[in-house]
Amino acid sequence: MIAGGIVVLLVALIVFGMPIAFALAVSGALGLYLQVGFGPMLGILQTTPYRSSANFLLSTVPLFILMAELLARGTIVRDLYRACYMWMGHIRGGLALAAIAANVGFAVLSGSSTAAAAAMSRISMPEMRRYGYNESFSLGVIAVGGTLSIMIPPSLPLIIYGVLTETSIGKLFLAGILPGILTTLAYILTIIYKVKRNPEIAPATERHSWSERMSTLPRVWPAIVLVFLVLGGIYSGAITATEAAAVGAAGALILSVAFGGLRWKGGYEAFDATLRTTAMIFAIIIGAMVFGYFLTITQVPQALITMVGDLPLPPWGILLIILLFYIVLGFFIDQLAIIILTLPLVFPLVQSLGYEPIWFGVVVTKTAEMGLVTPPLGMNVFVAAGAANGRVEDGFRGVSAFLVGDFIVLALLVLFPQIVTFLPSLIN
Amino acid sequence: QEFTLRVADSFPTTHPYSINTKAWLDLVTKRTDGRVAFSYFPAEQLAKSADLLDAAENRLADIVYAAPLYLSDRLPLSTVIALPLIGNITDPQKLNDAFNELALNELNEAELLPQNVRAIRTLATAPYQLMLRGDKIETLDGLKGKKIRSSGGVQERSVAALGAVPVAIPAPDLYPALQRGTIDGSLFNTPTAAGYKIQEQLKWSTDNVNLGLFPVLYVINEDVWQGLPEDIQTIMMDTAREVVPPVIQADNERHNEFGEALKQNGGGYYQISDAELQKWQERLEPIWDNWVSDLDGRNQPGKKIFDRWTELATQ
Amino acid sequence: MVRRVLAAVENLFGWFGLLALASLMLLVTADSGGRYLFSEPISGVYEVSELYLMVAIVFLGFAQTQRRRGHVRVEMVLEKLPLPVRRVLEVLYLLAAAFVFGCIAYMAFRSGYNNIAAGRWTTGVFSIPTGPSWLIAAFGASVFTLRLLLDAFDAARGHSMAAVSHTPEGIQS
Ligand code: NA
Ligand code: NA
Repeated sequence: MIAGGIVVLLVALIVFGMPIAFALAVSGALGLYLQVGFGPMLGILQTTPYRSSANFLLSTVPLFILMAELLARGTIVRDLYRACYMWMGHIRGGLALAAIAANVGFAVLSGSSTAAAAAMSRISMPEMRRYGYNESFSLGVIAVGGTLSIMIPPSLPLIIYGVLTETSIGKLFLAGILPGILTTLAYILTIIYKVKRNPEIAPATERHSWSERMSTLPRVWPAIVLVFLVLGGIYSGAITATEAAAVGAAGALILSVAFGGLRWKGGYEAFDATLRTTAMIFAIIIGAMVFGYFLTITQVPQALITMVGDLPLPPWGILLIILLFYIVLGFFIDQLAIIILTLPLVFPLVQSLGYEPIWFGVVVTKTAEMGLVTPPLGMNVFVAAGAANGRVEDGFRGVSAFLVGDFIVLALLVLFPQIVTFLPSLIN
Repeated sequence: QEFTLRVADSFPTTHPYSINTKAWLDLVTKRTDGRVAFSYFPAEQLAKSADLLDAAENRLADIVYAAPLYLSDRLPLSTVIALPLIGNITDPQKLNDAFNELALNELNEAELLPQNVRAIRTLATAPYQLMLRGDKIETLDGLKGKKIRSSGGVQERSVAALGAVPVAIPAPDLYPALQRGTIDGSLFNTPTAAGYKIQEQLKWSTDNVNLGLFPVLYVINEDVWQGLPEDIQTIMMDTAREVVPPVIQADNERHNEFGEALKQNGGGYYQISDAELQKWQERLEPIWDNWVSDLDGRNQPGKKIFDRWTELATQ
Repeated sequence: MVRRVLAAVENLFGWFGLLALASLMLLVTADSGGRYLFSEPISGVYEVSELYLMVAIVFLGFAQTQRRRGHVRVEMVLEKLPLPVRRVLEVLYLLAAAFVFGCIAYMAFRSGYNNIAAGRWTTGVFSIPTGPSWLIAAFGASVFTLRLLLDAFDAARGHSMAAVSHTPEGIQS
């Protein structure tokens, strides 16, 4: 009863233009007050905002944003994009494809899609705007591209799934590789298709000569050095994935000052903008946590899962309902919160239906990836739009075409589980 | 039913402690003929580990798991069992009984009741061991300069005292950090480590060292406790102890599985010699003194709790 | 007057935030570099980053972000509503948010006070007090609450509807 009312309130507040962070925090707090009283509500407001920020793992969010800001304020990123444009500019949608490619690179480094969306938004949005790309298409590409960070290992949801269900994290990572590649392909095909249908959303230029192309290369090396520094750092074991964000930011600062023309003013602006984007993102994270605790304490999601398990349906029927449930829950709750909230009930159920834990982990991560860009609570869309001063509704519109591709990939993973289980089966 | 209590902890539902807590709650409901019912929120569903104690104080939940090692600023006395190489008990049941005795009496009185919560159920993990991804290390010389993950607090001091380099790494980064060699090993207890699947990336682990225990307290808000009839209180306390043997057995099974996984990687369990352990103890004793003097300096009965625990853990 | 003082405090917090962000970058880099190159990590970086730097980076930026209309929202429906309706909604939104963040500030002050009164410190090799870290959150949330109240006041008088039209950098107070 209360749960339903508060969910409706949340949607109404967001649709009628309340800042998203406030809508989540206010409706969550009201729900907690109605459900458990004023004291416990204050209790949640006491610990949740503090604990959501006093978190070393989340330090990747401001630091990866800082790295992006520093690169974008100097000339390094512009040079990189100019090179992309020279080489791929005659291909329509070249900058969008470059953004997806960059996101794949980012996904190999980081397991946080929020950091990815914020960083890539600051880097690639200005360039796409400069070349006259359609706003909603660009935001869609960035929001959806950021979700690759949780599909392609290392992935925070896969790690948490592994710990919660005691499934091998190494095997989960292996299992995520092919679905990650498949998802990337789906995004690339969607871009090509969209640009074919509406060429004006991604203006192309003339084909550049080989000498023009080669001339861009010498200016690209700072970006490549940075990628190798960070990637090499992680894969050689020198640094952890979390520390990579700090090393990346420090590296970006040094390279931008030395080779990217970054000076005091640009540096100050980069730090200042990072603080604002970080505050915006954490306000939403805090709101989403408060709202998530409210839904948990009503026990409505838990009751729904139990109900589904008792339905007289064949295993695949129940599985379909569960996946649908995950997608719908993804409309409203933060993705990690969903996994923590539902797995205690869903995992035993799915196991009893005879499905493989590793496969299910990847499928759940796929639904979580989709939830990041579905309205009304689509974290990556908020972050991409917020970081680029764009409009949330443009972002959601731009994402819709990519969601079709996501659905097809999800269907493939369900119909052909081998896509997921093939690589992990090799190491037995 | 007369009472419905909210119970919150942070263990994944597959973790033996979560399964055991569920069994305890079901047993209470059964023994009280349904007069007490519980809604159980595992896996940090209601609050993060570090916030669970607050959740019990402000009545977001009635019974919570309080982890002294994550709350060492607020439950410092309860971390006494995390001190390394105290006592000679290896039998897990006896260790659990000893900690239960300490918590329900001295710790309740000195540190929990003043914060308006009361410990009613306790668990103590298997002792922390030294786990390595490469060759086994049997001496202090071998440990020198090795990067060993600790989860902070007393453990960090132990790693430093043994001459290794303590590294702080968030739990989700632990597996990849071992995989890529960012660290050489970790202090951990086998049943919990098995949940993180780090045995896939490890070769060797000691099994005869006690580098401290991880204390687990389930505390109830004192006002709620005083509102419960005495017969229900008794049932809750009795059942809390009754369900301990199965969880110890589950821990043992995990310990064995962990060992099997190490063997598959070409390693296994190994022992540190008594003579060597003597040297380890000399290095670690200052940590005891430091713990005691630090608490005594803050007007807390550090010495008293330390002596009592030494007494309980030694036979 | 109120406006100028609040803006000055926000700017001051902004500088502390910048300092925290720069420290986070440098300390974590130095810690991991020291560990890898010399097996000499810097003790306490993890705790300081978590308890102080992250809290400062997040909480000290809230108010400034609100001043510059940085909190994202969906504007599609709002733009089509008549101005008086928009104004009423805006005031309600800001007051509701101010109430929630006021509660957050109050509770953070309480935690900070309790931790300081009880003399609580972390227990690692490098020990730091936990109370002041809560106070950072408390001050950040308090200034944010004041900013929300001031914006509500402005919106009620019909000023500052920049909050509703799309000018992300907004008016400077
Ligand atoms: Na990733
Ligand atoms: Na969503």
